Amino acid sequence: MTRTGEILYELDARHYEIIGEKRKLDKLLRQVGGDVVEQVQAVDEAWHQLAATLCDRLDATLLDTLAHALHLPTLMARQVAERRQATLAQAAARRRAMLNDDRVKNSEGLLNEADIRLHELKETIEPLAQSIAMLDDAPLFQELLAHRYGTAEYGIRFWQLSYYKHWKHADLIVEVHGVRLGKADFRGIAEKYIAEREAMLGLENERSSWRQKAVEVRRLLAELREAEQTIATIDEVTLKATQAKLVEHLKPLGRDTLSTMLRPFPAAHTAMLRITGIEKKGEYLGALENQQIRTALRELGQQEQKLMRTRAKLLRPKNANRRWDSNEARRMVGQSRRERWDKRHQRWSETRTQIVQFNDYHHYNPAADLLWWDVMTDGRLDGDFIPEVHARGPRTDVHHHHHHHHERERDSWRDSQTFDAS
Amino acid sequence: MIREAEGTARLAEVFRARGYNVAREFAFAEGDVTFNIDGWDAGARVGFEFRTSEAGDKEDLTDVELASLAARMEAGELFILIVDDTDVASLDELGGYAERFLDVVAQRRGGR
Repeated sequence: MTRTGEILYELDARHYEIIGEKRKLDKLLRQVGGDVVEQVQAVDEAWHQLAATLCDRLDATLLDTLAHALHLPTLMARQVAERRQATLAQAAARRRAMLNDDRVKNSEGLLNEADIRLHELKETIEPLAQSIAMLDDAPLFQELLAHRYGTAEYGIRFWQLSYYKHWKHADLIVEVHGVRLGKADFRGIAEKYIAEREAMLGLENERSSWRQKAVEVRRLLAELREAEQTIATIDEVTLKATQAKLVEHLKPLGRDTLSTMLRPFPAAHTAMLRITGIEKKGEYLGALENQQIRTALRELGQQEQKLMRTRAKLLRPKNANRRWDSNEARRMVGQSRRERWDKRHQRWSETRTQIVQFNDYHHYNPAADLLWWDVMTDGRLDGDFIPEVHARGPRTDVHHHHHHHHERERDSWRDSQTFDAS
Repeated sequence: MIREAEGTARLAEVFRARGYNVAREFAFAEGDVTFNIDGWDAGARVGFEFRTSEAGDKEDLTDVELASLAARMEAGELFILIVDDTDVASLDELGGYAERFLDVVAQRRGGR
């Protein structure tokens, strides 16, 4: 027979196990989530790498070959040369316009003048701002100003209490600020304050205009530098733009079409495998995240709820001194799953590492009857949680098959001498 | 904010100290103006009215009545200090302002 207190003790131990496991899975979930985002960026980079592999220089023969093979007439050498010329002409025109702009011609003088004026304005504005702030901080100053105290327009009359309140505070303001401002009454102080504010507004406008002038001159200088940079590196700029056009053209194509198109370019074919492989990484990591880790977290939540319900039941007063049949007590507490969870956690971490660290994209052979999963894991990890692996069913010959294929493939690449191992 | 009972007590104290025979809660009815004034010396025709949100007496005097009283005060026929509770933060401040009001009344009447 088991006492209620003993069962509660065991339940709490189980609860701590669940909390610990949830924390571990949350951490893994964050890692895998981060990995998925990284794969998206990596795919983008891989596309650019593919373009750079296909077109690594502005060679007329290469461009014409690519234009024909990829059905992309805008890649014809003549068209690329025209675009290069247009970019160059545009940059040259921009450079000329900049050099003819008086603000650029006198940029040094203008920037110096702006610096000096801004410094002077700061020196002038600061004491004014201080003087204004002192009155802004004086009690009731703004109210007195709004009522036009001390002028014929002041409308509060002697039978209203605020008349005396205004009178008192106006006197205090004259007492504190009168000498500083050289004024003997509130009206004089108010006029001085308004004049100071107007002066400051004018100076602030002037300051903002000088700041704007300096910003504009710096922008024009940056534009000039950019135009000069384009002119100096026109070939590099054209190559980048051409590669970008390639990516834009190839990205929407179906993989089969792309594969056929790229057949004459073995190095690009490898780059394409890289793209597909990285996309697969994202897919597998996504499955690990959603099919495994999130499901496990949901189950842990359900177990936790069940455990809390049992706990609440045991805490009822009528159960306080009850003794329970040992089998019943064991049923309530359940088995510790820690060992199973640890193994599972290790397996998932290993899966994640295996996917993330995989870099041998050239090992994949689209013609072979293998999935990317098989190549990434050498068939050593269970990928049943991934739809395509599940649909294909288990296979036992991956390791052998994959290595055999790899050796054959390496030999053929070595022969063609076009394989870039990087 | 000052409560009405404290405020009117302090005003009565100041007015009496200056020689006014102030009656509390006086039923003022002259011409077109009728209201319960908080303090009133019928002989000197000097008094005070403390208007608070708390007592709900801000509507006791209509704008028309207030304008009528103002015109009579400008003409020197009577003098009532109209206090709005939001205008004053302490009893001492209120007392000081009441003193100044009575100085002005005295000046307007040619000394008292």
